[in-house]
Amino acid sequence: MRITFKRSIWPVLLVVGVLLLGLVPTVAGAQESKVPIDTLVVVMQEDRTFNNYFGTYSSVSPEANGWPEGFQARRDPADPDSELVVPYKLTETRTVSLPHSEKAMRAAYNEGRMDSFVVAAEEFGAEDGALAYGYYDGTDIPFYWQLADEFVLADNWFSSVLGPSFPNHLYLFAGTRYAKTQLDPSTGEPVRYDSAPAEGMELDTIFDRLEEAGISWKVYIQGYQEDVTYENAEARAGLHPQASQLIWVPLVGIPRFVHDPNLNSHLVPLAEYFDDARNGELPAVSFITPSGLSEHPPGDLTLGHYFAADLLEALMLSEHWESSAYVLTWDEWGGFADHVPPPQVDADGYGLRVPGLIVSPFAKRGYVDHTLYDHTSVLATIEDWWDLEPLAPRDANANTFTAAFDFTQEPRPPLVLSTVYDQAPPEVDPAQQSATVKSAYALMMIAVGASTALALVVARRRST
Amino acid sequence: MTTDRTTPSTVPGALGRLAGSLTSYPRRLLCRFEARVENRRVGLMTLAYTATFVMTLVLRFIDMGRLGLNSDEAVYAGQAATLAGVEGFPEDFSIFRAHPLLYQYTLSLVFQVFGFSEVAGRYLSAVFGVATLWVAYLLGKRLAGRTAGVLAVAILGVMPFHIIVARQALLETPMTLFYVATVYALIRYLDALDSDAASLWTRWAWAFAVGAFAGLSFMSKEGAVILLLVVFVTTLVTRHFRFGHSIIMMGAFAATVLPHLLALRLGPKSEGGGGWAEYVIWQVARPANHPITFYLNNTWVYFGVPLAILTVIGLVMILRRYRENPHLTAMLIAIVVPIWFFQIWKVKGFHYPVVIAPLVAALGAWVLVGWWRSGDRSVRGIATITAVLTVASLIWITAINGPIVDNSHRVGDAGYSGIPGGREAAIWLAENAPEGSRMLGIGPSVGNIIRWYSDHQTSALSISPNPLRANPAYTPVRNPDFELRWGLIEYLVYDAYSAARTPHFANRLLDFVERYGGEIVHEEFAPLIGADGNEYLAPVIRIYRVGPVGIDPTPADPDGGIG
Repeated sequence: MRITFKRSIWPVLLVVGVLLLGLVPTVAGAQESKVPIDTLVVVMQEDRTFNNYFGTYSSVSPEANGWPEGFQARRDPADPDSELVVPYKLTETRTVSLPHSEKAMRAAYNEGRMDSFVVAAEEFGAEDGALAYGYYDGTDIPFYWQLADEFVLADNWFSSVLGPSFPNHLYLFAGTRYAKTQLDPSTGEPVRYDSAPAEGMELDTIFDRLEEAGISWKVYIQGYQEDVTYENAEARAGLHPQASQLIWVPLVGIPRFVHDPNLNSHLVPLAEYFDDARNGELPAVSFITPSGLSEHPPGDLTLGHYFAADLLEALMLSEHWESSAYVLTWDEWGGFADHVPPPQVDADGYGLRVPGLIVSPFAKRGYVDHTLYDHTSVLATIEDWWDLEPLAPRDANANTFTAAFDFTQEPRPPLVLSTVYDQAPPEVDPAQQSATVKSAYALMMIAVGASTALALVVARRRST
Repeated sequence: MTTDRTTPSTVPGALGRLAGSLTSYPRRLLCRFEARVENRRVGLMTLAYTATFVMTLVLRFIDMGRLGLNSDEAVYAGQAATLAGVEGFPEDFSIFRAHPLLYQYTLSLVFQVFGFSEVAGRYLSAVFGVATLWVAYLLGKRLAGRTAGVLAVAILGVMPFHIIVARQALLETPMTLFYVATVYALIRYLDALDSDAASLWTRWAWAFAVGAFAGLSFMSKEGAVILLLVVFVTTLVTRHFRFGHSIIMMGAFAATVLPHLLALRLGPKSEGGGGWAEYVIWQVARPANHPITFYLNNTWVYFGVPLAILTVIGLVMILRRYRENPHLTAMLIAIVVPIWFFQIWKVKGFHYPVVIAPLVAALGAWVLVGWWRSGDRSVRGIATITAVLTVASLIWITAINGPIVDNSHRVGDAGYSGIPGGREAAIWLAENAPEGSRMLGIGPSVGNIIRWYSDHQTSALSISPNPLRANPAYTPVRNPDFELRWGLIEYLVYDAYSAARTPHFANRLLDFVERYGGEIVHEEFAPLIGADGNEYLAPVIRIYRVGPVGIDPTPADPDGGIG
């Protein structure tokens, strides 16, 4: 039978063809961001609470939720006669490392009373737990305070876990803590790991999502050593000099990221970040993990914060700046105090409040963001911008950083930050000084000029 | 036209008489000119003088913005901008620095009236320079008549040394104006003492004028304190010292300088500018910047050989005759004291001796007129030829070395001119370096220029942390290595001018360029004379970017960072 097509069938076929084309995935697989940000850099420093760094920032921006005025706490809340402790300015940028294990944190947290920082620190080995109430300000961390002045400070960002570094970093990478189904005989609860187990971990990460979507990504690691993985017993025992890599870069605890050459190639030394920035080759998503410059006590926070500023400056001076975002936060409390009880959304947390700084040409200027964030907000933001599936309930329900941005504003030019933070009015008002000088000189010139002219004229007349 | 000196005035009493007196002198000049025109006595010499004066004005005002400001100009104009409240300048240029503020104050008024501009300071300086011509005329006329006065103007008018300095926004130009005014007032004072016709008021008035002009010269630049020595020695040597008149002179001087001292002492403390005592200590303790032959090798050529010879002849003639005439004593001392002072003062500058330029011109005119009046035809001929040669040689030097010729290879000397490439490099930084960027240069000179044009912080390697050796206006960089390593400096600026003066710090800067991967992002070129005497286009300013390079590996946390 011969099939003939009437003329009227061709338009129908054309429309159907166009509709079918719309269902074909875009060529080359690289999804573009839904927002005008195509380069995201995420940096996680170590061991600082919001109040430790920004506890007095309300002196600059009153809406920041820092130490309440007149705040004081008992060294031992169980003893009403114990000494009162008030937050105090630290004079050294290097301090001892306060106990900051999960047990120490839960003891300090004291079921939400937030009143046992001193006694918890001393219970777990600190010589003087009052150090927990020490704080820094803009004179110590000028770059951070300037970032808060110029961009966005998040004062309602909590660490994801009421616990130590490893699970918090896991939440940042995977939206969950790694827990096996088997029960710990001593507690009767699932075994929770504070470091990568000897057999490695199996869990999905945000980088799996990025990889599947064809979105470029890298993890830049300071002091990167390829042999420091879950297979390194010395590192697992915390005896290796670069043992922090196992804690702070959970990917090296996941077998496929260690053994798959393609995935492993995304884990690179930090120096490559500066080269990539300079050459305009930063990936869409970059996570940066410090080592010795993490601000983790007893490390010098000055050098650590210069380091974080360097990372930002490399981005600002690169061609990526105009469409980039830089997110800086800290993994957990480090033993320092805070006054805001973290909401408990599940068995893990949240943990104590940590600082969060969001920098971008589209970030709101001088904005204190009270949106509830935790580390999975980073994941939620990536998933939202690049249209990716969530990893776990936490990131599925976390707030994104939308409130921190205004994508309608003109992209701001790069800004190099000063090494000095000075919000105080200058000791000398140049206008006042100028007025003094001008008055003095004007009087002098008028007086001297008039006197001289008068003297000469009078002398001339009296001589004739 | 009558020369009635009384003014019919509806303003009663002394005020009306004062107004009449003030306007009588210009009216008399006009009457005389009209008489000449009527009598057709406008001759060749008048035309020659007029042509010379017009040329003078052109040379002094033309093409002022060809080169950007040099370091000193940037500082003084920056102080003026701060005084005028121009946005962005108070942070970079404190009001109180090393010198008094007469010029800066005047310039701030110019900014407020005519608007802020790069070249306003140079135009102001040129106006002071032209005013100096008038005082040189008065001085020459006092020494040897109107012809000497006009000849002094002609010589000074085309003198390249005075033109070059008076085209720059420098303190030396008003200082020179008031210096020669002081010398003129001193001569008038001496004449008043010698004249029976002069009243007590006349003597007091000129004594007052001496002190006031000396004070104004000091208020331009504190080096004019040597005027006190000039006045004192002159009155002593000529036996015209009067204690009471000295009180008047010192009183006028004190009244003129007191406001600055009071403002310094009682005004709000200067921030970043250093206290006056620190500046005095630094000025006294700072090391020599040039060899003792500096002026001999660099400055005299801009007076011209004929004028230099005339000056020497004039000084010799004065030495033989100064006892006869107190004018000559005053001239001798007023010329010799600054030469001696600037020669022995360890800090030398091309422009410092400009204070004697009008005196040298008047002296030269005095010599020439003296020869002309000798009556001998051959001597008159020599005088005429010398006068023509002197003026012609000055014009020739100005033409080949002066301000409107691109003499970039000479501009390494402070006070000579603007710095080729300086303005352009600073503007490039203003347009391309992110806000807040920090620069590190070799010396503070280019830093001042960068701050003026671009508002970027610029430090300098050569600023010593030793307070005896560092200008208090600048903050030393105590550990540049640390600052570069930690990304606290974004740009390194190499300039050939500072490198020539301080090769040690130039090499240090280049070390940093290599160590921290400096990348050339901008260059400025200028014609320079090579060792073979040929002119080459060479980079005089290079800007390197030294963005963060990262520190990796670093020591890991001692506890392995396990939380």
